Amino acid sequence: VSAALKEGRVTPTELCQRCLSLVKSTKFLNAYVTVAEETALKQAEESEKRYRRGQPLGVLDGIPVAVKDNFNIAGIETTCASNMLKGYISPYNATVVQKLLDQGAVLLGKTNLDEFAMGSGSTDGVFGPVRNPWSYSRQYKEKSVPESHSEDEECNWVITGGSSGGSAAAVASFTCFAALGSDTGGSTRNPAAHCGVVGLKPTYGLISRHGLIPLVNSMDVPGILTRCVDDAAVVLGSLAGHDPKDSTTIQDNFEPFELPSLTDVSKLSIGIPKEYHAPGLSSEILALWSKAADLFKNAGAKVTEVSLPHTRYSIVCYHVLCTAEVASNMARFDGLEYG
Amino acid sequence: VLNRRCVEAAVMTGLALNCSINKKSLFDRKHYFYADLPAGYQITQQRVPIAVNGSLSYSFCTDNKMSQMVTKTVRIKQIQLEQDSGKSLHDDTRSQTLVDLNRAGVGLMEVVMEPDMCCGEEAAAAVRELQLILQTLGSSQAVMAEGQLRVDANVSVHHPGEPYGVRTEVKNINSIRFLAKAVDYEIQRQIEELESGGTVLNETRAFDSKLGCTVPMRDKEGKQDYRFMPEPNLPPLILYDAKSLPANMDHQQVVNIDWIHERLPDLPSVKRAKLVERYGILPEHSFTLLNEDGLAEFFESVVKQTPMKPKKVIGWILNDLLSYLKQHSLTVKESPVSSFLLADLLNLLEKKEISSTAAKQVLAELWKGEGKTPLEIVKEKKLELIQDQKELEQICQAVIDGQENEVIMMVLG
Repeated sequence: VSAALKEGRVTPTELCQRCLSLVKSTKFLNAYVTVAEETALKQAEESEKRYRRGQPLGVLDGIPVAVKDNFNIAGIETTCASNMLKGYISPYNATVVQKLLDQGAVLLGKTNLDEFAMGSGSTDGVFGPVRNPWSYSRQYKEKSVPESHSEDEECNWVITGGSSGGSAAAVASFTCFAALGSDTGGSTRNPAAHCGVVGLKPTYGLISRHGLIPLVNSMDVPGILTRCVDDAAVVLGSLAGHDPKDSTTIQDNFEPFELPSLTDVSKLSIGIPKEYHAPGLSSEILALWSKAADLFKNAGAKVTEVSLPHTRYSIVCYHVLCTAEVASNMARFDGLEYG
Repeated sequence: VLNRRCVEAAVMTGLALNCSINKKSLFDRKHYFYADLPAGYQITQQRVPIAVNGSLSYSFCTDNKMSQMVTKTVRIKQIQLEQDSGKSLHDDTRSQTLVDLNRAGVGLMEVVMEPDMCCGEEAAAAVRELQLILQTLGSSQAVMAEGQLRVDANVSVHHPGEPYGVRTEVKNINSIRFLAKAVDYEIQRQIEELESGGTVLNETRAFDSKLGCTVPMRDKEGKQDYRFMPEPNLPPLILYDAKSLPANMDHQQVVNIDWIHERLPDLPSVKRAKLVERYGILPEHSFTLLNEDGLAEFFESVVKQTPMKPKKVIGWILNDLLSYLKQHSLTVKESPVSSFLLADLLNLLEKKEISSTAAKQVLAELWKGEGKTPLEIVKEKKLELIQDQKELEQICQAVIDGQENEVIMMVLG
């Protein structure tokens, strides 16, 4: 679509308007908490001027994006899907948001999530649960046993996974081309899997957390949700790098890269951790997992079993650290400040 | 994000207090709920502070006449960096408390001293010396009344040879004088309490400056569990010295202990020693000179402008100038008599054009700040010493002539 914008086949404003109307028509998904229609159109207008001058800011110029509602955006309400922050209008932009805006991206709005990003279903926010766009797909409808009540249409939907469910649903329903989520214990990857989109959790320290309302300071990262892997690489390229406002970002220089098209996998070595074959894994998942492994093996890659012996301690450690940090970070939301 | 200036100030202070600077120090969160702590936690350095094991030498007079100076040392346990909370203003008349958050989050340096002091006077002298050091380093302006230097005094009593007694913490001390009073009151209170068979509670007390006593503070029951947790947003603080500094590290990005050490200004004790050596004044004088803001500079400026010996000048500075300033509650900066004027006056005295009594009169006139020079005042008031022998004889003769009766009585015996 970026090429299309460049060649003038479609204008940023047209793109923005189409996405906005799609947002409106998919309102039943409850993916968006706030839609910033006016500012989005203004940003699209600015982008259009740049394209006409032949000076787009980059690949992301004019691309509609959505941002999870735990990122601060100046002038827009940031709620984290909680009543504690009701009416809180942030005075500043999160670093990652600023980077997107500097690239000319068009911010459509803030997406729904589990309250304060605590959850894995996007069901626990005060604005209600997010519905998976795939609930309305033909395959799902065929699968589910028809109870032949029309009211059931309303309750017969599936969750998006969480906590960045709104972002995942927004991307999956084509209302935007990329969305920002956050990932602490899978909150970007989980909904990405549920909604069939690409979810990238960058390594901690690669992307600045400044402006991301913290859940677990030592594990949070901003996450990227897109419809294809190359898009994710593009967004990562524009977001990564040291931020003086975040002491936990690494100092080394970051070079944005383009994913090479992989035709020859014979030099690739893939490890399958045996501990991940956990008890309770469904046969369907196991089959898909094996299928993916076989695909690589048959293409000539080296697929071996490896061991990650500390795997079984990970969830316990996570719980201890997570609860401690969350208790600490949430102490400030006493209703007196912030909304 | 860590404030660089705070780290530098802490390192400077640590070096000035002979501490070992921890090359790696860590930050923690201390959690408790209070209206003046908006985040619900305070970032501090509980596990590994930035500087440890230092010492502070201070002196004080054992009598009021400034003739017996005693020098003692108090050990510094540690210096840590932490965040300030907001300020709570209690309005008892309207039963409300107002919270001022302007101060919250600002960097603080906490200096923890060991219990090496034994009375209010020692505590006051130690804090005064610390105040001077901080002001000299520029780490802080350390004015207690404005809250730039806050002191919490921990007091306990015990019989010699026995372990330390239960301690109480006294807060709300707003000046060095009140510090001495508070400590002495608390010592007395604890002694009386124990002697009448009671016990001292491990509590926090507030100093009431109006009544001159300590009272228990409300809502501090028992020991609090602060739920210390490593601060996840601040990585360990690494400081370097000349030896450990990696070659390719950008100078702007790191704090080099040795670099700071080289740039430390003269500490008060060094300054005093220099004054004594250079001008031959007494050590007690050097204390008074440094104790008053700007007085040492004033003194040195006068000395430069007059051939009068510094030992004599110091008398004029400490006895006359200082007492005038104190009487009118003025600072040296506000003095209507500048060093230039005083030097002028002392020159007249040195050249024996006036007597010292006359000089004092002139000073009193100068104090009015009417812009006259010493010479003008002398001429106005006819205070010149008469040098002419003949003139003196004439005056004496005139006096004798005018008092015939007295003269006859004197001659007769």
